[in-house]
Amino acid sequence: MRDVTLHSALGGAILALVMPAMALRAQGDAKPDAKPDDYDKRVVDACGSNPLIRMQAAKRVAKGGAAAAAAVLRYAEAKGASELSSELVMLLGGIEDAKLRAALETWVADADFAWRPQALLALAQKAQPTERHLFEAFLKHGSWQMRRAAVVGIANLHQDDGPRLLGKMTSDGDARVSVLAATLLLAWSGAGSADTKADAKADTLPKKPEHGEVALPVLVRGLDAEDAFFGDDFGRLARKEAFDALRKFCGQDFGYRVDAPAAERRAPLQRFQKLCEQVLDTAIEVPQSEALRAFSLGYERRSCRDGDLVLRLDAQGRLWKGAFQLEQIDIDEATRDELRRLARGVEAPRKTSFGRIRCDLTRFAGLGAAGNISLRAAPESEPEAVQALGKRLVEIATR
Amino acid sequence: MQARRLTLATLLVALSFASQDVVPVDFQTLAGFEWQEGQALPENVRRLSGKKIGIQGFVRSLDGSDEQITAFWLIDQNCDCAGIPRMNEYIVCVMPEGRSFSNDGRPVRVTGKLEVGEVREGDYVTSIYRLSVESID
Repeated sequence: MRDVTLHSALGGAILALVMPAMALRAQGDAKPDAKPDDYDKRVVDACGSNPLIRMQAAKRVAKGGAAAAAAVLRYAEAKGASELSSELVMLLGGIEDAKLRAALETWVADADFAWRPQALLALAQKAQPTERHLFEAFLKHGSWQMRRAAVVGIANLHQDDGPRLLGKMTSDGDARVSVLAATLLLAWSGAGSADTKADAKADTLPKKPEHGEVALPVLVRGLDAEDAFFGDDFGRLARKEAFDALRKFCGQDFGYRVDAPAAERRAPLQRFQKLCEQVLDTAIEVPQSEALRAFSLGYERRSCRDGDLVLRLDAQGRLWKGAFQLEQIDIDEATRDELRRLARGVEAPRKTSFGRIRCDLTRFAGLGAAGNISLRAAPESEPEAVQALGKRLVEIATR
Repeated sequence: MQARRLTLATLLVALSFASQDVVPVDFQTLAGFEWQEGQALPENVRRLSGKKIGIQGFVRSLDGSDEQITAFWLIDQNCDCAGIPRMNEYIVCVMPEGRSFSNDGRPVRVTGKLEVGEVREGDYVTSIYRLSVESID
């Protein structure tokens, strides 16, 4: 039995749907404590070096109420807020404490805070009307992670214009955001609940859900979300969330496997599509997904401060910007040669990661000077050649 | 005679293990239930215990380093910031003695013997899946 205290019953339904990708769900893993706890120790454990201990300790802290909140604030004061772990920050929204909530707001507003999306997500867990401005503002942020957290906040506020705002976010260019918005929109009126599943099991169609005409097509298309950065499957999160939501709604999985190749996902997708079309009594357009392009070099800046930037050069020398919905950037032959020269300047590093990587990072993947190279770095810790390439790419992409 | 019998037995065990089919597993299977501390795990994951499995995921080292990794947890998230995995959404993996590798953030496919069941460190249950790595690609 999960013990996440929810803002409302609807919040429960919403959170249940978001949970596959969110930390909030993980709170349920920990057993309630039977005796008073030493929260200062728990907080130290929750910010320690062993991630397995960190996760479990963070869950204990999240159950601790005012005493735990005070311990967190003492730790942040003594060590600096960015020394809190991402796991702990993410779960702090479960604690009802005004001072802690105020601290979370401060951290969200601080562009240099290491765990901004986690702090926003923590606030979103029990979103308050007075925090609406935060969630609304971050719906437009350049970081997909910030937009995801904001979407959860908007959903959990459960205000009258929530469906409109969520509906708008189902058009987000990043499938990791649009699919989440669709799952929350579908949950708005309790779709995917035990009732609709029972209907499906009885071989009758699930009832047409409120907002289903917006949410269901996005979810069906989300089953085919496909983009990858040199093997890093960007689309997986969207596919998983779309599948979890549709499986709940339809009451069956049609044999869909999140990690199956696109061709093998097609038949189960079409069965979800057909069922949803019957529910909506209208056709759902699912474009045939393009084969993943072969890129020869890639640069990704994932930044909760400055927003994301993904730039990739394909085998034909064309430069592409973005993820999922790629935009081609016109470059002339001289620029193309310059980018290739800069990329070839990246030496094979003796290590593959640089600096203390937290929320913000940059990645380079490509041929480099000595064959296939892939590395990632914390901001300001990039090898010089990667920095030079990144700087030039950003100039080209933002001119 | 007894020594020869032991050697033969060892050889047979080694051969049977070497020829043991790799059971392909994914996180959808491992995480397909709600875990609560102390509960009996579902039969479909319990029967994987002791089997040689192959699974794809992302590496997070246990000491925060990306170099010379000898132990790590394998998860199905490709983002450091996407959330805390539930207990059944990661596998604690240990490399063979004397072997290590570097993590470049790309997904890996790990093969090895899976052990299923709760393990506790101090106050905390820290894993329900552990894997002795045989190969990593």
